[in-house]
Amino acid sequence: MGQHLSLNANLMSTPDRSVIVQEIARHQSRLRGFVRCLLVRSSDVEDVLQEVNAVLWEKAEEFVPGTDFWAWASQIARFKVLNQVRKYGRERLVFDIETLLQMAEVAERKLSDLDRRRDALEHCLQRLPPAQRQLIELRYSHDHSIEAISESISRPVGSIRQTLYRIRAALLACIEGQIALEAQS
Amino acid sequence: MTPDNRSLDRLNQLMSQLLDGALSDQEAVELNGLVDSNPVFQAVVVDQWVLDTLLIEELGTESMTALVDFVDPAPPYPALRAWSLWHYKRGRILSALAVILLVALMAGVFFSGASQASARTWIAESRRIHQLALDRCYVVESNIDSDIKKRTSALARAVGRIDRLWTRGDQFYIESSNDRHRWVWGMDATRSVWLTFNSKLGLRLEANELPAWMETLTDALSMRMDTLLDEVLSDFELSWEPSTNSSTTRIVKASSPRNRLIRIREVRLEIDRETKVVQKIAIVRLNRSDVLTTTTFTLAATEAQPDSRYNIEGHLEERSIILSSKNQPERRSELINRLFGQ
Repeated sequence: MGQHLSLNANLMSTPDRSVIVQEIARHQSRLRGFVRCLLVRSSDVEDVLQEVNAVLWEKAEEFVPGTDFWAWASQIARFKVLNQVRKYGRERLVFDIETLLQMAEVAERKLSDLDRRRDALEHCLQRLPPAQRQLIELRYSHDHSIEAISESISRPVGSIRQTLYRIRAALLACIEGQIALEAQS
Repeated sequence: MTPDNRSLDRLNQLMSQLLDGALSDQEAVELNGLVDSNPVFQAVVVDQWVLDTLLIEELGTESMTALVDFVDPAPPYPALRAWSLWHYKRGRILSALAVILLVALMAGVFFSGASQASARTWIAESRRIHQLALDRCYVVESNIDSDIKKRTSALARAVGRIDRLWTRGDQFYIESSNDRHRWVWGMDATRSVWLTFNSKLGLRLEANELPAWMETLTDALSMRMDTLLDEVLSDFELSWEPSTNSSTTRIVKASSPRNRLIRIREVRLEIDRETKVVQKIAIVRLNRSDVLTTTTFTLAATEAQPDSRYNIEGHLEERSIILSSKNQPERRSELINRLFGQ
């Protein structure tokens, strides 16, 4: 009887495939952030993300509707990414596997808060001085290398690197400030 | 353990170099050592990665080349067997997920138009999402110019009663909510426009048979998301507008450059921040430079519909009559005249 009820409950809660597609699409930023964070210097981010998407799709029926999609998906992503990392030689890794395992937990937690960070970033980008805004857009909107930016605006490579470092630091501080402000209000 | 400022600064500097692809092997060892020296630094590293991911997302480019491999250049027509269909759909869905951001990469423009580039990226992502073989239902509210209403008679007057539009890419069908006069109007995958008047009679016009006025009316009511977003991307000036639901959606306003060949003056798209699905769309269309219609579509549901719902046959009983260019074309013309006053 109990088993019968449980089977029925499972059938009732089988997720609609279109819901899974929406959830995968909705969490692409988080998943990409997670994969990038753990693969670090690898050029395999898109390959691994693709595999993660495929596994999520294949395991769709294991997801229980109404539960936390990110908690479920990030476990699958963690397993997939760390398997990949173990295949790399030491020269492709920046961090030890142990450190990466710990960072995976931090990343899961931080990325669950991605929406608030995104909102805060939008606000913080608007507050950047025009010259800094221009530089960050050259770097990200056009994916220019530091050398290409240096050439296009006739500034030394070292100076560009330093300025990007300062911009990132300023943005991080601004995001934290915004989130803290929101938490107070 | 509270980190000292010097180590923290150095960590952020190395991370910045890592993100810019400028970290040497020696510096990589230094970075690993720093992170191992203090657990707090793990969070700093993650913060930098998250910021970098958001900057890529917000400002524009993301390589999706790996996922493009998933795109089948000539996807098989859905096979009859369930497993084939499943694989076909899986391919389509993952392909679409893949292409969303590839288009974002390709849609970038120079930084002088960064806001445009960003809005353009969003529209391109939306377009790819709406190319998925998913069915979406929109509530339609239309304000058709009274002059055109007079000229187009019965069906156009029924516009106010239309409540639901189902779309799948450019395919659509609209069902009348008038119990006394049931009709369904749709467009199939071949771009033929069809109408049914009851469960036994319908008419079909092939794409090359559509009179201009009917094309206009079809455009005005059907939205044809894929075509519309394509036009918006290629012909319109884009800008952001404040959204009342700013935490969940963003609004892109697309204005036409006063080109007489473009029949749409303005489109306002309210797009979900995460899924990039268009939640609401308001379209102002023109007729000889005069405002013809303002139509608003609001997303009501996303539910799988059978393929047959987008074909005339799916709304008719067996042995029904379908009037076409090959079957009783005179009767078809007469019926169109009666319905539309044309």
